[in-house]
Amino acid sequence: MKAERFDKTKKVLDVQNLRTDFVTDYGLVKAVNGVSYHVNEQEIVAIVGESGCGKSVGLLSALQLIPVPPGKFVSGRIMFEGRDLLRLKQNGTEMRSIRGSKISMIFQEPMSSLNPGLTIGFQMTEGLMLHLKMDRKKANKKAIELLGRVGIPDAEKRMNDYAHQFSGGMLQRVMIAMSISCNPKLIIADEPTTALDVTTQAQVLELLCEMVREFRASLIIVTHNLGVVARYAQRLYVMYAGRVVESGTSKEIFSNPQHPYTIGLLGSIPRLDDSDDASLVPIKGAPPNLIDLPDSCAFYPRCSHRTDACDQSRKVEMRHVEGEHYAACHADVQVKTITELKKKDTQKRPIDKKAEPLVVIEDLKMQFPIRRGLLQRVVGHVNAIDGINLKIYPGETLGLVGESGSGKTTLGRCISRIYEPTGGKIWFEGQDIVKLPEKKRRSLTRKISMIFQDPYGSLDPRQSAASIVGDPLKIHGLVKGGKEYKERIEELFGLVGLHPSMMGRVPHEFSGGQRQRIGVARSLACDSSLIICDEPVSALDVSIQAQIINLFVELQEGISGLTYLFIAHDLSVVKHISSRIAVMYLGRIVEVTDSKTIYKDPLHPYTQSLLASIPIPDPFIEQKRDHSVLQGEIPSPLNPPAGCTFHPRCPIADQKCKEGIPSLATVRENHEVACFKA
Amino acid sequence: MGGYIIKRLGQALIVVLLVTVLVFLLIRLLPGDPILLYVSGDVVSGAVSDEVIADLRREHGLDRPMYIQYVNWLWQILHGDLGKSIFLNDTVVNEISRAVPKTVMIGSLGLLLAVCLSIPLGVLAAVRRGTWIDTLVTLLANSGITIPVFWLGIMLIQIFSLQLGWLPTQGYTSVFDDFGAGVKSLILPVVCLSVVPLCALTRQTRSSMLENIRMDYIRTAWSKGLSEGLIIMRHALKNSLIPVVTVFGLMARITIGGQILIETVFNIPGMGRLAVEGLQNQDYAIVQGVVLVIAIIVTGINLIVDLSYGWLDPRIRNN
Amino acid sequence: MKKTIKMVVFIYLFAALLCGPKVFGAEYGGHLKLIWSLPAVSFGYPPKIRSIGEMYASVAMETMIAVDKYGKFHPHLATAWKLAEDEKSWIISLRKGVKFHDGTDFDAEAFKFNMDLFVGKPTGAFKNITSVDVLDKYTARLNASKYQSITIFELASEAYMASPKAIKEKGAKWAETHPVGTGPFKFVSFQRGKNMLWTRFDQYWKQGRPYLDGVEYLFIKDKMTALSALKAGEAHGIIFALPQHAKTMAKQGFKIDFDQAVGIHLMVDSKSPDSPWANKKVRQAAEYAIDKETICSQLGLDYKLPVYQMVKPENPAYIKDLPIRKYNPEKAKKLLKEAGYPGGFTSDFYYPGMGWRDGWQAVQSYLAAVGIKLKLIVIDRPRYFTMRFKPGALPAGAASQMVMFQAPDPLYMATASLASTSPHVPSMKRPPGFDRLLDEAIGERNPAQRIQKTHEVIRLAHDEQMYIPFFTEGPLLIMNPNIHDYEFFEYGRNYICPFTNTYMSK
Repeated sequence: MKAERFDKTKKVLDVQNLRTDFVTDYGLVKAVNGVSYHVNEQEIVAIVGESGCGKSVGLLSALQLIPVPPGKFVSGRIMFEGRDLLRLKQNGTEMRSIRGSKISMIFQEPMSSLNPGLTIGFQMTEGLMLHLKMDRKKANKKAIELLGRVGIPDAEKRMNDYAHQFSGGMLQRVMIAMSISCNPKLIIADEPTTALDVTTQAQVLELLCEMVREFRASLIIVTHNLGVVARYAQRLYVMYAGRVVESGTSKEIFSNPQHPYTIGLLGSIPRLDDSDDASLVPIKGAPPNLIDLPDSCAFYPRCSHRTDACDQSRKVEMRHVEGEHYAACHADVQVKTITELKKKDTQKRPIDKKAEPLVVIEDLKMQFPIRRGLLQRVVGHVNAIDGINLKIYPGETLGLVGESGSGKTTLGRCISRIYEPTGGKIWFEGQDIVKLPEKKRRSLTRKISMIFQDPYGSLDPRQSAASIVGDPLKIHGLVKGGKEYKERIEELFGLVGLHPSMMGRVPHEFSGGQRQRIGVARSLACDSSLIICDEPVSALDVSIQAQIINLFVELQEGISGLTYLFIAHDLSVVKHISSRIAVMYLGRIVEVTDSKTIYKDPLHPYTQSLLASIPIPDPFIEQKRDHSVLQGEIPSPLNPPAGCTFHPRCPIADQKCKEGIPSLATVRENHEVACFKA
Repeated sequence: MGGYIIKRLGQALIVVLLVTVLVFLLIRLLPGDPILLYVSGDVVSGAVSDEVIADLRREHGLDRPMYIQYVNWLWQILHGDLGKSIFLNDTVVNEISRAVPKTVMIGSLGLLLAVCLSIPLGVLAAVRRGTWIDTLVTLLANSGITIPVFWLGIMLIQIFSLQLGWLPTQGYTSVFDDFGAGVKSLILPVVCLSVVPLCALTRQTRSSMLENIRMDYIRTAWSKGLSEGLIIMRHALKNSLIPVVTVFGLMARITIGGQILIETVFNIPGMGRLAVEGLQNQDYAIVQGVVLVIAIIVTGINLIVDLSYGWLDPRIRNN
Repeated sequence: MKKTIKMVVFIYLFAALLCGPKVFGAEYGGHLKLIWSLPAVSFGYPPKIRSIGEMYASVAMETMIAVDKYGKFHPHLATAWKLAEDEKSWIISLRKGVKFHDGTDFDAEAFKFNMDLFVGKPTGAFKNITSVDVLDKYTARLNASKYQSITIFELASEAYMASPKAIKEKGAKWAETHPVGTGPFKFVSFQRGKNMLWTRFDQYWKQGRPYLDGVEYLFIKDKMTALSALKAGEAHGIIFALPQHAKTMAKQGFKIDFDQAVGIHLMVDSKSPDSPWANKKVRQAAEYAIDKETICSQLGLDYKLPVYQMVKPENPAYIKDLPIRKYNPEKAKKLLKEAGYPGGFTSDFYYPGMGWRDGWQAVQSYLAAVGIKLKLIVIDRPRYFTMRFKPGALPAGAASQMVMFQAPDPLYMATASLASTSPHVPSMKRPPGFDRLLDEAIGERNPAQRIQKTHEVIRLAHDEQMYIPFFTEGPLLIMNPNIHDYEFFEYGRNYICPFTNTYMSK
């Protein structure tokens, strides 16, 4: 899939020693601190790093898109077509003639990156008229053509639509169309697919790379997803705290990571092809504060491979490793392979299948009314969940995977009784909790608790951490007296890895990862049997995610009878932590099996596409993988297709699939599928 | 969109009717009898007999029960008759049609002036944030909004009429009667009236623009190579206008009410004065008529503001 | 003989030249502008011309007889009037050569037409007139059911003459806002809230008059704005100016005129049996307790004058030796004790929002000093007027502001305000015999006797302390010193055009 030949010697963009500072009220932030990177002709380069590492700023600097009163281009050169772009006046005619025509950008959030008040067509023709000097008619024609190229159906009609009338994936295609419209030499994509669903992500990335090839442009893609890097990029740069810490071809880096940060990253991300007994090796600590950062190695506080060679008195230089591989590390780190790193000593506790299930969900339905008009009359319904049958066994982790509109969040909320299901039954510890009277609900909230996605929003900003965690103890009367209360809180804090001295702090004084820990502690305080985790790590940085995931695993191993329902869209994460996985699509469960089988032998076409869409952070494996993408878009839950909801996109659908709804059936041992063809 | 307009019109009609009912009731609940008030205006002629009073009452329909009075009034409106003023010896329609053009002229010119100045100022302050321009504009806008209109009017008269003698101290001449004198008589009231809306709109435009400038799509526009002027005018401004339009609607409504002060200071026989005098005299028909007109104007403004949202924000339009 | 005649003529011309320059030559002409604040409602249809309306009507229209502030009558449109043989009706001789502004003649037919508008209508004037006869072109007869001396005053104050042609053609409603009269100025236009315009009537019956080319009244309600306009030179004068403004402009050389046309007094509930005010001594005590002189000079800036009896000192009916009750708090306290209120009492006092707050507060403190505690309650106009008319509207035991126009004829005043037949001040107890006295006085043909009887009326009102007199005030006029010979307040009320002889100097 990748272009085999490119002209190594001709650099399209050559950033040399760029320094961009921000002057803030708290001090000087060296957002980009002496960064050098380049991209050659028709090459795809990736820049990898977590939030705050300076990758976006580094790229925006190339086009001088940083607002200059707080920002400042201190030093360095950005060579493009023989000129230093930094010497140009920031918003002068020359700089502007490069933006959007020779170098174009694609941003992360497609919904907010396009002007909601102007038609898509108008925004597309703006660039064409400005840079290619076309008149309105010609520009319109070209725009329609481009939209067709990127796969927007009915392009001519859609020219008059507005951003909110497109889905996220469609909008990103429009952005791609806009970026190639003026035949750029270089496209910069800043986290272009982070906000999209997995299958859509694959579609968009494939499209982007296809366009790049077709237009013979170069691409710099900024991402934190190492799988994407492995699949598409020829070279990559790893950034940390405003500096490049490692650079080289992707094969070089993935096979022989040198910088401890890179090693840490690779060790902390869950992979689809991880073995059952693999655990994540998180990077301890947290990313540094960029204010007034010293010039020495910024990773030192978190590094687990420190040696005597680590001299903190001087600046770290890029050390040549081999070929194009450079690393900014004093030491010569010899590590075991990542796979060896991840090998765990203990085994996962096997699930006792003969035990009574903790939760049995029977034909669960959840409808939301659609209201229109002055009197808010109900004009229709959305079937968020349409007949779910599921069992959860005590002590296991059931992973629930699905994209947007799948209903996984709704299901979680039905079980925890945030929503009142409109049909079906939920049996918990033998009782039907749907029909439960008000009085009995209280005790239920103790047994089933929830951890939410947003660590910022789900904690009361005015309560201290201790009181947040201790509330359930008081509400459910689980402790007698103040002394026991304090002791229990300290115990819980310890369980989740928080120092008891932090008890008195309020949420905004904690980091994101720490706040999630508080949320976990709160659930544990209730002594719940079932914890529903609704996307608990999606909002966290990659290196922190691993810490929290490990915490979940540890807790389950330590506390018997602790059951998780783990809801997420990232199958790699879910696979890592779950014993069994249920895949949802548009309100129904399409496949349920254990985590090993789901990767080795997926039966449902949707599951297969899902797996194919997820890149694995290993360029050698990715080379051999099938990159076929799923066609079409996820239908709106307001208007689901008849019959099997997947049939319009299914590569093997036939007439039967259009008419009937397949039910979840046990096809093999411990393997249920809802497909006529299984 | 058409259905939306019709729906809103219907709502507006109901609102106007409710307002008239409310005013109708309230003014009749006030203590005092307008007929007595009217005849007692001339103390000397003494014997105003009961027959005269009864005649007057009949003449103005005040001898009927309230709901009949209201229905009659509504019925008359359909024939273009708003009733007779008890005190001013003329039909309400005549009084209002004399007063309304003055109020509307000054009000709309004042608002127009405010809008024409405030949007550029607000944009300028937002785009040049932190510079002396921004500080100056913000300072002026924040202090201007607190100036009492009455005081400002008197100060303007002092300076421009008494000291400099450029403009008349009071009075209103229609531009259709005498263009030069008309314009001169309009300048001070219009300026005085425009101050508060100008400041409020400037502030709102500025903060709205500031918010929009930080939006992602502005960054996209920059990345496409558009110039600053184009980005402001084409991308940022339209989206910034929704809260500004809201404030405009608010200001327009306040302006209608606030005209009474302008009319008093500058001696303009407009609607505000008519309403207040009508109230003081308990002149039922006048008050009802004026309130009806004001209610129609205000709901009209509301409607236009609502419809403009649809034009400004396509997301609302298609919903 | 010829020589004498020549001499006489020469002297006459010489004298005319001496006195004349101010009225001949350059001082003709000019357009007078005055600022008014009161609304003009009905000022052209004679029966409906009331109080404020008179002030506008009198510029263009004239009444039959002129009356001065002393109450003396002078011929105007009527040259002579005498009682008919039945000793009730009147024979009126009309002036010849008078024209209406629309060119029609003023004659007995026109007089009859106008008087017929009054006869039989319950407007209050000419109640005793049953019919009007035309005797010849310039003589008419008013047939009366009984003799009333106030008929002459009514002819002077109410009998405006409007052109019958105008009223017949355009109707009474149109006439209300379009006066077509016989006066020195012809009505041009009226824009409510803006101005009223008159222009010189060249065929005015007083030869050579008026001197001005035109008159304009500007309507400016806000006093500050009015003052600014005056200062800016946009008008020559302000009527109904504020006392402070008058003082300010007086310092700048403007002329200040004030006439005491209105009396403001305290009216008390003397009817309710339990009211402390029912006791005459209490009422008298109240008058002794108030230091009117100080209030009027300190607070009223000397534009208000204290009164102690029903009429002003200039009025012929004024009783010079009537023992008036001047400020004497000791006497007040004594009277209160005698009346049985040694510790005083409380009473509510109502006055309208547009009343003189400072004055009433001063009254309150003076009364409090002798033990009468007034609770000042401001009420809105409608309620105030209701209180003045409706029996029982004034709460028992309470008091309120009272307004009486100081007409030159006290009998006219008394009939209007104090008689039992008057709807005003229902809570005021009329002393027994008052109405009879009043009727007798009105019916008295003998002038000397009438004065006697009038005195008796005044004395009775005074002795019985029907109300507590306070002060008189009138419209304050600030006028540019270049304007001369206007007669605003010469005639008590403005029945006659104030600008007949007015001229402007440079």
